Amino acid sequence: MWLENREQSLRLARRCLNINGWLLPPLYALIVIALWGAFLYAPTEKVMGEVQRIFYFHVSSAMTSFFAFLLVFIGGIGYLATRRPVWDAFAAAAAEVGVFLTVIVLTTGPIWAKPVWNTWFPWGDPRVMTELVLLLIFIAYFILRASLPEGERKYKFSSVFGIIGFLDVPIVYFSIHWWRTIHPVVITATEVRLDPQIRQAWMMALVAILVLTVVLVLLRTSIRLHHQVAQELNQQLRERRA
Amino acid sequence: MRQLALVWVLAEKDLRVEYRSRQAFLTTSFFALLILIIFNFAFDPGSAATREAAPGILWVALIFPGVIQLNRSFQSEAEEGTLYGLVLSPLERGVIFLGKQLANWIFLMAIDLFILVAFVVFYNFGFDRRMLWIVLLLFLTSAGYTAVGTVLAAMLSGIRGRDVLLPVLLFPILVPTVVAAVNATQEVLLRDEFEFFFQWVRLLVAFDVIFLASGFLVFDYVVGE
Amino acid sequence: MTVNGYLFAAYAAIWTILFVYLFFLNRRQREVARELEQVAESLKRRSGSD
Repeated sequence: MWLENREQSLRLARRCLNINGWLLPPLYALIVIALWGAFLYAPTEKVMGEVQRIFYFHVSSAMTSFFAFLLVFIGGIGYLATRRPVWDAFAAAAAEVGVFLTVIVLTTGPIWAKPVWNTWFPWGDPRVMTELVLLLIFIAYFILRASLPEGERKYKFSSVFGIIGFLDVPIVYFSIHWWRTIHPVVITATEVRLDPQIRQAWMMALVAILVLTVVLVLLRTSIRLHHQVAQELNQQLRERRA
Repeated sequence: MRQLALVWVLAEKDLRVEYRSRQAFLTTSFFALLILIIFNFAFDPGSAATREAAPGILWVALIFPGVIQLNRSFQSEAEEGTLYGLVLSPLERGVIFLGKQLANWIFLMAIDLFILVAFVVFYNFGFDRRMLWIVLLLFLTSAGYTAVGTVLAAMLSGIRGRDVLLPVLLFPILVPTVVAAVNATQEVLLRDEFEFFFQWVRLLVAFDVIFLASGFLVFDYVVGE
Repeated sequence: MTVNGYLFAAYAAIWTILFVYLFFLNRRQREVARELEQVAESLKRRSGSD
């Protein structure tokens, strides 16, 4: 039964890498187009000026990070339903990429917020706070993983925590949203006036980051699968020698 | 109906164990008391600023010590091997979860009420009708707190370093309850108004329902095998 | 070239280098995949003959 699992894992890892082989050339073009869109195609925003160009990759990374954590949630449910380690490898890979994106959001955010809102960190903004809490939750996710030995228990517990963490996201969002509507914050959310060219440049960045995320998740999933298989083989050899 | 009776049997067992030793109750409430007192030293006691911060201090004192109790609720079970017995019993895992959660909930409520009394005295509020609303908040917040906490504590019961891990895993999840509880408390205690109070109550109820339901569903995976 | 043109050029260069790296990472992992498949295969064959 576990031999079968192993072959399945190897096959899936191979498939991830093959899909990546197809995705990589378009990804290159997509990112170059997105950079062109952000720096050259989009007009300079009237109110905020050139700094606003941070927006394209910042907001796209933020939206894509939610997508990555959705994948963690799906992977968790998949694991609990099927008990196949493949799902956990997938969930953990997505969580890693999600943390990576969240860090991008939370570093580019202050750089943009300081000149525009005159504050590094807008504590009252629901989107910023949700990102921050997401980062905390998924750092905790990896602390949990690090403290468990490889095996079924680790996969189960990580899945449960990933599911709980994701379910928390909408509640966090609404709590901060209401908090902020109650205490009128000094910051007035200068909603970016989306003229069509800005919107188009944003969509280019969003698609590019989305594909980049998929590529990274697939690559990381296959590495995790290989890791699982290598550990199993190692254990099998050790048992044989004993 | 029978399932509910079983939940109560489990909870009652835990509460009785707790009542006989009283150790957790004393340690946890003492810790909470210390937080209240230390905050009074950290800020200027009796000043307007401290009074403004009082609702926040109350919730810090209620949230932080709770992990001691949660850790204990599975520690003794794991040490004595009784968790194994529970899992092997023909009880549904969800029922075990609810029993454990109910015991933790009642226990935390007891500590919270004690701390609330200390809070009113230390921060010079009055024992009036407003406190009933605060009790409602305690009731709702500790429900969600123990729902998530019971799942995580059960998960960590067999892991080394669980004393540190539990707060690390639990507190990020609790952010929305802290926001809701502190804001609702500020409204009632400092401004005596209810404009948004019930919005916060609704948020807390949503949190409780979501995590009680998900705890009930996933507990099987947490203690299984 | 405008300032933004230079910015674009710089970031495009960064991305190109990163991309080449990513491409090689993917290819390396394919080699690892092949090696692991071989190890698993030979181990299976040997345990069959035991």
